[in-house]
Amino acid sequence: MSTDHPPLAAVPAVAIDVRGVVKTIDNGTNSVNILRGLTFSVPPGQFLAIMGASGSGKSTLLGLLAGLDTVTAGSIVLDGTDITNLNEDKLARVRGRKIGFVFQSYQLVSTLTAKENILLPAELSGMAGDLESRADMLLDRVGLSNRGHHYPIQLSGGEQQRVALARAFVTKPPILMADEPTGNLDSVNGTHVLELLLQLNREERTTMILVTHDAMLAAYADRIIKLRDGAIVSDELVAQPQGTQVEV
Amino acid sequence: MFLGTSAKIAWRELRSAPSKFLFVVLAVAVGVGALSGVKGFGLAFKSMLLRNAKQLIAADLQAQTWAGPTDEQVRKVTEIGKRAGTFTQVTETVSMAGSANSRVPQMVSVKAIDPTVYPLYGQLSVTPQKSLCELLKPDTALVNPELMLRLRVKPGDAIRLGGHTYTIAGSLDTEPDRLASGFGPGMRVLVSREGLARSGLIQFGSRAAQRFLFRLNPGVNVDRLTSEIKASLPRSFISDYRDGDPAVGKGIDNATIFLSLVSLVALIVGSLGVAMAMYSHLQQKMDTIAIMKAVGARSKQIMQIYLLQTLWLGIAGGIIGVAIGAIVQKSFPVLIQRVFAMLPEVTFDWSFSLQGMCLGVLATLLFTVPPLLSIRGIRPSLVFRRDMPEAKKRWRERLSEAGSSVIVAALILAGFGLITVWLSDSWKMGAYFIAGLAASLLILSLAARGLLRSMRAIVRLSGTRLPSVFRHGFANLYRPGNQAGSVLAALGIGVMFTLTTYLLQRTILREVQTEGPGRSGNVFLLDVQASQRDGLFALVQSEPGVSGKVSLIGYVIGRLFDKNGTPVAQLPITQERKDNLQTSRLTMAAGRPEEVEIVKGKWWDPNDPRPAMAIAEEQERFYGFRYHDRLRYQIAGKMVEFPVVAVFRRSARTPVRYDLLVSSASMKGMPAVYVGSARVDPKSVPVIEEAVFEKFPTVTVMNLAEILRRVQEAVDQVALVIRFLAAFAILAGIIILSASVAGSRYRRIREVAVLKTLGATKGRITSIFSIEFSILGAVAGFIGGLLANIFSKIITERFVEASFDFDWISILAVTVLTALLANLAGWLASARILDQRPLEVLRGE
Repeated sequence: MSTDHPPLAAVPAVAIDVRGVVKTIDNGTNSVNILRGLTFSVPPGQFLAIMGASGSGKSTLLGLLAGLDTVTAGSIVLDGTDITNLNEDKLARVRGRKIGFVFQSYQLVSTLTAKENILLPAELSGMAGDLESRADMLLDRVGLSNRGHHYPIQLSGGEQQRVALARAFVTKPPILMADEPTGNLDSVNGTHVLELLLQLNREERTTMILVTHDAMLAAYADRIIKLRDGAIVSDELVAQPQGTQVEV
Repeated sequence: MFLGTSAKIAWRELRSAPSKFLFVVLAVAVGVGALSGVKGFGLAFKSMLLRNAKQLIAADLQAQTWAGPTDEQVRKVTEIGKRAGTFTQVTETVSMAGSANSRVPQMVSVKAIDPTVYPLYGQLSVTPQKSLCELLKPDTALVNPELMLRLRVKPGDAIRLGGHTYTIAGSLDTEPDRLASGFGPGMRVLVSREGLARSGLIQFGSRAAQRFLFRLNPGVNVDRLTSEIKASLPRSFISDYRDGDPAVGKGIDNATIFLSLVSLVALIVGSLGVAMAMYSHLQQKMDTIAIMKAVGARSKQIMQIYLLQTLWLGIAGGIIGVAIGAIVQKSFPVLIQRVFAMLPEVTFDWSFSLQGMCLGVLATLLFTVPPLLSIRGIRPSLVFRRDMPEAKKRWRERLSEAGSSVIVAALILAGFGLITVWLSDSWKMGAYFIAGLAASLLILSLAARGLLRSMRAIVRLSGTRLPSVFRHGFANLYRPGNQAGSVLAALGIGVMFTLTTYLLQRTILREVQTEGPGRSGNVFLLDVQASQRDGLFALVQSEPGVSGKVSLIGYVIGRLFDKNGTPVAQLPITQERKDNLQTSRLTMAAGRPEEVEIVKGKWWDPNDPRPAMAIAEEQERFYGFRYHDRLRYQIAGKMVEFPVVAVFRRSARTPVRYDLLVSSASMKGMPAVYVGSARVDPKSVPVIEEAVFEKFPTVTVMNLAEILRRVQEAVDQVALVIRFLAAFAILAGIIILSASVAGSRYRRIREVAVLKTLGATKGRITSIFSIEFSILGAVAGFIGGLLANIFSKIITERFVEASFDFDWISILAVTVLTALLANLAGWLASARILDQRPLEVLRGE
């Protein structure tokens, strides 16, 4: 297994470059245009929020940015790697090394403990080093140092999402993608998770893409792109993003 | 590095749902059990033959011949035997024995030995325990206890054999070389060689097996000796202590191969079950797979997890299968004890168990290739939404997928082909087996597809006119995740195999009963000498209870000398066929027999004394004989040249099979032997037996009913073993059905909850599921039954040379039975579903 991770110092000028991305779904009877020629780029370290109503194409865009799906037309360059025409395995490698994920519904592997879930991306990408210590450190950072051996089913929703946060950062990815990370949580847990996400993001110096329909959440971003019917309707820099004291 | 995590996930998934995988393990276990059991028993039997080789043939080396050897040949073999060590001759034949206490004589298997030498190895068990020299005199015999019972005699009484009286010196309980005997499990009478000579049973043309037994001096080269004997006795069958009894050994080999293939079907059906279970398992694990892909897992890393699971399931099934195999091995002696007097002590053999287990794992892995490859198609974007619309694939992608499916199917077939070749040691057998299996699976898959489409069409077209329980029951068959196609294939294969066995068994028995000699008679008269012919004919014909004309067919034994001047040795045919030509049976006929039709040439004038021959058309293919050929035979020391004046085809079964007919007029004065047949009222058979035995004691009267009884016994034993193993295939099918139902358990639970919430009663839900199971079982039974009839027809007409009528009643019976079985299996796997409370289920979503 490969262990040749790009050093953090070798950061390209643009973390994410999206050019004319189109996503059309043809299911045999209907052809649906989900994304209609999106173009934008994200500099390293930027916190970008993508907003839009349900069905606007924001989750599809996140899936394409993460290489979870393929574009119909256009190109996407992630941290210097053009992922547009990569095959499934190469995309998986890119995801493993360059992207951390936080999903709305946590998406932990039910048969692995909290700590094993955190270690999973590192093991999948063949990372070397003292992974155990890093997992322990992240567990500690998300306040679950005594819950490492618990299975997801033994954890509350907030705890599961915190495990998911730790998992997203274990490989020190240059890019973090979050899909409605507080959507399934109550306000207290949601606030806690968001605080942790922002803290870890600052500490790890990652580029962050957040998909949400919640304007309050988006207010913490450096930049907000709004989508409607698969097209960008606004792309604005936020002059003064919210601080760490948030109310969700 | 990921292997540890893979193993962890694989193990925990298995542990979290043990009942789901229990079916899978059992399905593999029954296949492995059947296979390792058969192989293990075959090996045990062969090892027993090898271990006891000297006892089994009562010698170091044995030469057996059915063709009556000439005095010159016996002299040569005796000379070789004396040079090599100790030598003795054993003669075996079939005759009739009677007693003063029983009017009806019994057919016996007579064995003549030299009591001073025989047996060269092993021991006879006799009562009283005296030496054979003391017991066997020219006028005494040792008799099987059953015969004594039937003839109502005891030691000291007399029995009559060939018109002579023999005092029973004792009872013969066992003999070491019984398995090597040429005359099967008849009731034995043991006499000395002088005793046999006195009986007059062995005359020219009598059917007798001669066995020449050798105990070799140290240092004798067995191969050289074998060549020497072969040169002196060209048509003999030679075996030695190194290969046990090759005739029995070969039989065991053939039986093992056949039964292994039957077991392989059980294993294939079981493996199909594993594939289905794995497919269903992967369907349930799609979310986990998508998560792992999203966090960077490659397809092959995920496949590693499920490959490990398959491997463990295969191994677990294999281990249980080995235990089942041990039970199967132990059961075999019980199943076949009536056929073989000597049976091996079955000991557990690791090598075959290991082989069975490896085959189980290999078969499991082969069948799980398609579901494992389907992992590649699971999209990581499922982590966002399960109901994300599926884009229609481009034609290139679809073509590539179709290509992959063909490659995978070819891989599976090739894999199983190789397993078959390994089991049968024959490439041809492997090809036939796989072609048959592939054709059956294809037909069953097409039937499944047709069924699902028609169900969908029925539901669509009938709308609400169809009662809702039927609508739901039909719709259940094509629900996502329902593996109706695979269940149908597995059950259908099991039904097909079991019914084929039954139909073939029944056809063979019916063939013997109605198409065999029974047509022209139910009583055979064997070993009739020319001098006895007219008297015997008159006697039997005049007996009450005999209907129609008694038929007596005569033949002479001749040795082909040359064909059109070319010596036999130079004819372009195999050595085996050249050997056959050394003792040809030339059947005498005056006019053209009713049962033959002339294909070429013209029949001879019955009064013309010039030699003439008519040949069966197959002779051209086998020996290269043709119309107008001139065949020179040596008959009783005289040379006779027969011109082939006609080629014939048998249009009906004849009482005695003949291939070479010669003119009776030209055979006057030749030593002929006759075989007769008569149609006798079954009640009168004992009277005829008694009358013939009284006047012609050397003539053997064979009662067809008695033969049929023995044939039936033998066929029943074989069929029992086959059915025993075919039942494993059925069992695997049922397990798979249960597994399939268990696999869709969660969907069913939800559906039951919704139906209950909407007011459906338990009875209504039961009806819906019962309709689903019944349709599946009935279609599998119908197609399996249909295929069984087709295969039975092909086998019967091609190999048994008999006619076969489609048996629609059998198809109907298996259709109903399989539907019932499917219901049983289905309800076993889903009984608790009905008891779930709807609120618990709906809340838990």
